[in-house]
This record gives sequence, C-alpha cells and structure tokens, in this order.
Amino acid sequence: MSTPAIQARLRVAGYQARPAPAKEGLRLSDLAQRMWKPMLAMGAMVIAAGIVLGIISAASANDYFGLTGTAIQGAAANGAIVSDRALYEAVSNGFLPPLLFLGLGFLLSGVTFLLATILGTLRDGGREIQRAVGGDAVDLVKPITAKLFPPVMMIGLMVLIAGLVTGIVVAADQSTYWLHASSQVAAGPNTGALTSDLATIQSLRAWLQPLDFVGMALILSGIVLALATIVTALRFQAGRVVQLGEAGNPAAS
Amino acid sequence: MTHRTLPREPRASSTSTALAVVGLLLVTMTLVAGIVLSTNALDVREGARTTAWLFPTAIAGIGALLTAVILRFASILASLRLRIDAMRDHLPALITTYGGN
Repeated sequence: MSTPAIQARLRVAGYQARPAPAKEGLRLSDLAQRMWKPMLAMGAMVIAAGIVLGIISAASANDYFGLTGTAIQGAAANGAIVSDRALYEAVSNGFLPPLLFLGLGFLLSGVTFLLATILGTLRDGGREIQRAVGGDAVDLVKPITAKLFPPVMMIGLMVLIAGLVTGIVVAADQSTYWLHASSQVAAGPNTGALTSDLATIQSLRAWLQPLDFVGMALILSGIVLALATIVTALRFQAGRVVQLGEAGNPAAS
Repeated sequence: MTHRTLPREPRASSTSTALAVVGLLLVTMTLVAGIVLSTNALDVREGARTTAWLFPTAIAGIGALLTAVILRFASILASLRLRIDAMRDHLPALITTYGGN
C-alpha cells in the first residue's frame, strides 16, 4: 500500500490523523506563544489612554457647559470657548469609542493567541506521550475550525482598525464644525455648508458603532472556533490513548 | 521529571480573581453613575461631563474582566503542561506495572 493511501486511512476516534512530521517550519502556535503578552499589553495601554482622554474630554465639557447661554452664543470662531466644545465633540463623539473598541479587540486577540498556544501545547504534549508509551506519534489533521479561527480574528482586528480610521475622520470633521462661531452652530447649523458638514458627521456616526460591534463579533467568533478546535483535539487525544492501550493489550481488543 | 508534590498554583490565578472583582466593580460603578445621571437628565453640563468618562470606565471594567479571562487561560495552560509532563514521565511505568488492567 502506498504512503498516501496509508495516511488516508489513518483515523483516530473518527477523526482523520496523519503521522507527526519530523521537522516543521514556523508554526502559528509558536508565533501565538510570543504574541499573547504583547497583545494584552497593547490592549491595556490603549484602554488606559482612553480613560485619560475621557477625563480630558470631561474637563472640557465641564468648562463649556458651565458657561451661560449668552456667553456661549457670543463665542467667537477658533476661540477658547468653542475649542472646549470642539475637543469634547472630537474626542467623546469622535475617535474615543472606536479607540476603546480597538483596545478590547487587542485583549480579545490576546485570548485567541493564548488559545492557539494551548492547542500547540496539546499537540506537542500528545506527541510526547505517544512516543513515551512506545507508539507512533500521530497528529490530528487540522479541522476546518483550526483553519478558520486565525483569519477570522485578523479580519475582526482589521475591521476595528478601519473603525478607528473612520473615527479619526469623524473627529476631524467634528473639530472643524464646532470651531465655527457659536452663533453659527450652537443652535443648529446656520448655513447650507454647515448643514452638509453636520449631515456627514451624523451619517458616519450612524454606521461607525455597528461596524465596531461587527469587528468585536468577528474576534469573538474566532475565539468560539478556537475553543471548538480544543474540544476536537482533546477528543482526538482521548481516542488515541484508547487506541494505543488496545494495541498494547491484546486482551482488550 | 515531574515531582511527587505539585507546584503551587500559578500566581496568575489569584491575580485573575482580583482583576475580575475590579472589573465587575467598575462596570457596576458606571451603572450607578448612569442611574444618578438619569434622575437629572435635563442637566446638560452634568450629562456631558459624566458621559465623557462613563464609557471609557465601562470599557476599562470589561477590559479588566477580559484580562482576568486571559490570566485564567494562562493558568489552564500551565496546568495542562504539568498534566502532559506527568503523563509522559509516568504513563509508561503505569502501563508496565498494571499491564493495561
């Protein structure tokens, strides 16, 4: 029987298996083992930066909304008063929410990388145990869930980055809009151009938050797929232990 | 070779529990702040300055909880390695001793 034919027939507990390769190149699990800590650190740093920005924005809101209606209405373009409003709008209603979602995305990517590390440990440990009991080391043929979870996680992260870029565009538009004289914008846009600017801002904001949720959902789906792969790997290994036990103990077969 | 007594549980486990509590407190705090704000919804100044820090704080709470999840997974990984080492080192002896019975 040819080698591919033998490999095609290798099954453990209903799962397709293949002989463990003697040598492998760079594996995803090796990369994941190095990446989960930086991802965790980046997520924590982004969220900490978000809190600082939130406090700065709150201070600006406090200054602006603490003024009387007359003072706000009389505020000149590009002055200190309108700058407070522009900063508050650009940060809190601009790029801060997508930035925080990206921070959460980094943390969730850290979870995905850690799950990939667990999968690598299961595979390597399984090989060691099979060899220790004198059996041939076989691996589980990569299930579809294992092939899918890294790209799904990466797409999710890219969606969150796209959300942040859009958030920065919204922040720039918000800043430009609110730096106009208060008499032109505080009680609604006064000119056709300003109405158009406001419409652009509102239309971008309408789909920005759903986009962030799509990114989060994709990363969480990646985690679900990785957990499903862990279940498959554990079932495969249980089956392989039984198979080796039966092969070594004729009374059992 | 693995030892007869197990090593202590990784410190990540207790850190994880502490972080989960902090995360839950932060998220609950934002809920309380939101309820307080809702009693005076017409105060634009209070509304603007509260919402500016409310969302980042809620996200920080979720972030702390997620970090707790990550650290708990790291503990699982360490325990899994321990289990694999124990099986690799002692399973052949067990098979020889008991002969599969």
